Amino acid sequence: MRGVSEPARVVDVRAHVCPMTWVRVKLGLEAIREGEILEVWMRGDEPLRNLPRSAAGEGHEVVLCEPSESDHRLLIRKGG
Amino acid sequence: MRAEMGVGAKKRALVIGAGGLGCAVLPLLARAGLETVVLDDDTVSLSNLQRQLLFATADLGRPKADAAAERVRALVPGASVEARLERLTPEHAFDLLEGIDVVVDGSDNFPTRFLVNDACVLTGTPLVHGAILRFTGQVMSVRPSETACYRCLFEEPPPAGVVPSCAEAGVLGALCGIVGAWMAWSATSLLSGADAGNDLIVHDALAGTTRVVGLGRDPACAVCGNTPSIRSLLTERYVEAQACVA
Amino acid sequence: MLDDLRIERYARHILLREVGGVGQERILSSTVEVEGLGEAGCWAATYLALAGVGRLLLVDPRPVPAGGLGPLLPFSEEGRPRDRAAAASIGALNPDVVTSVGAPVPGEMREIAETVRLGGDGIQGVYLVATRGERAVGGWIDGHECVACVEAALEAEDASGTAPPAAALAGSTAASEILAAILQQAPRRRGLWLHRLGEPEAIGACPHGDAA
Repeated sequence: MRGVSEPARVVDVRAHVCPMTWVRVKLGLEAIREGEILEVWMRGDEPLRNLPRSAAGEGHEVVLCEPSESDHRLLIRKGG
Repeated sequence: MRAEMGVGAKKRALVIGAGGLGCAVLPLLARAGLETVVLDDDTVSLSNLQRQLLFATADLGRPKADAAAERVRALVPGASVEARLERLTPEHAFDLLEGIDVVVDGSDNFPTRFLVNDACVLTGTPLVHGAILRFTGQVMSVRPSETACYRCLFEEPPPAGVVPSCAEAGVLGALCGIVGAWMAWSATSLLSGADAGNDLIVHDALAGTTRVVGLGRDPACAVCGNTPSIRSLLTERYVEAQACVA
Repeated sequence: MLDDLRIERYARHILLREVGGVGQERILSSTVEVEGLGEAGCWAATYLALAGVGRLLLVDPRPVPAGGLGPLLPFSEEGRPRDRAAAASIGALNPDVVTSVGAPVPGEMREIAETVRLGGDGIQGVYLVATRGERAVGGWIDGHECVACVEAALEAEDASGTAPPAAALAGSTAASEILAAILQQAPRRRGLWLHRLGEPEAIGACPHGDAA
C-alpha cells in the first residue's frame, strides 16, 4: 500500500477480551510517535467492530482494517 | 407493597450492585444502622479492584455479593447484610422489594436502571439513583408519584453503543466514593421523611465542580404520570442491549 | 512499570483519555502523606491506595475506635494504632502501594483536621479535610489557613463524631483532587468548601486577622 510506512509497533490482542483489547491498543499508541503506524492483530467480531471506532474516537486514523476468517489486521496512524 | 414496620424496627435498604457505587454505599448504610440486602450475580475481577473498596486482592474470583457482605460485617459490628447472588429481573422485582424501605441503585446498565425505577414507582418505594462515567457522577432521590422519577428525566434507554458503559470509557475510582457518599446521604434523608427529591446532583471531578439541576415530576411520565402506560413490569421492556461482551 | 497485572488492575483508569498508561505511571510514582486517619482520612487513604499511589505515608497513632472506622479499619483492629491498621488493610487491598508509618507533627490545625499532602517530584500541595457531625469542610490550602475559620465552618454542629456520609464525601473528594493534581501536573483551585448534599458552599476569606 502506497504511503503507509512500516508499523512502528505491533500489538496482538487476539487473546484478550473487551475492554482489555482497547486498553492494550491505547498503550501501544502511547508508545509510538504522532504519525507513526500501530499494527493490531485481533480475533473475533467484537474487536473488529469496536477497535476502529474507539481509535477514531480518540483522534487516530484507521489506515487499514483487514478482516479475515480467523485473525483481523488493523493499521492505525497515531493522531495528535 | 411494603409491610408495616413496628416501632424501633430497623430500616431496610436494597442495594442494587456490589460494584463501585455499591461498595461505597454499603459500609455507609451499615454504619448508619440500616439493614441491607445487596444484589449482584458477578464475581470479583482484577479490574474491579481499582475502585471497589470492599474487595481485597485475595477476593478475586469470589461472588461479589458474598465478599461485599463479609467485608461489611468485618468493618461494622452487628451489621446486617444479606447477599443475594442474582440480578434484578422483572419477574422477581416485586418479591425483592418486599419489606424494603429504600432502594439504592448502583447498577451499571440502562435496562436495570429503568427496571429499578419502574418497580419502585409501582410499589411506592423510595429510590436513590446514582451513576458514574469517566470523571462525572450524578445522584437523584425519588419519592414515587411525588417527585421526578428516573423516567421523568430519561424517557427511554439510549440505543446500544451510544453511551459507553463503564467498561469502555473508564472511570475515576475516587468518584465512586463521592457519588456513593451522596447516595447514602440521600437514602438516610429519604428515610427520615425529609422533602428529598427533585434535585439532580451532577459532579465533575476533573473540573472539581458540583451543580444541582432542579427537576419536577412529569405529568406525562409513562410510569408516574397522570395517565401512566406502564402499570406492570413486562420483560420485553427491559431487554439487555449491550454494546460489548464484557 | 506497567506489567500485565497492573494493566488489568488499572484498566479503568488507563481507559480514561486524561490518564492512559502515562497517567497511571505518574500515580504509581507518586508520594502522598495522609496525616490524620479520622473517618475522612480513611476514605481518602482507601481511594488513593486503590488508585495505586506508589508511596503512602500514614500518620495517626491514635487507637482504632471500638466499632472500627470507615471502609478501611475493621472493628477487630480496635486499640491498634490507626496508621498501622490502615497499612495492613491497604496491603490486602493493593500490593502495589508501599505504606509507611510516620510521626505526627504537633499543631492546632491537627487537632481538628486531617491533611493529605502530595509530595515528591512534580506537583505538590496540601489538601485539608475537617468533619464534625454532618458537616464536612475540605479544600487545597497553603498552610496558613486559620484554625478559627475551620472551627467556625464546623461550629454549627454540636454533634460529636461524624456522620459517615459527610466524612466519606470529604475524604473521597480529597483523593479525587489529589489524583487530578497528579494527572494534570497543575495546581487545582484553592480555598475551603463546606460539603453539602448538593452544591458545596465556599468558605469566604478569613476575617480573623491572625492568619499569616
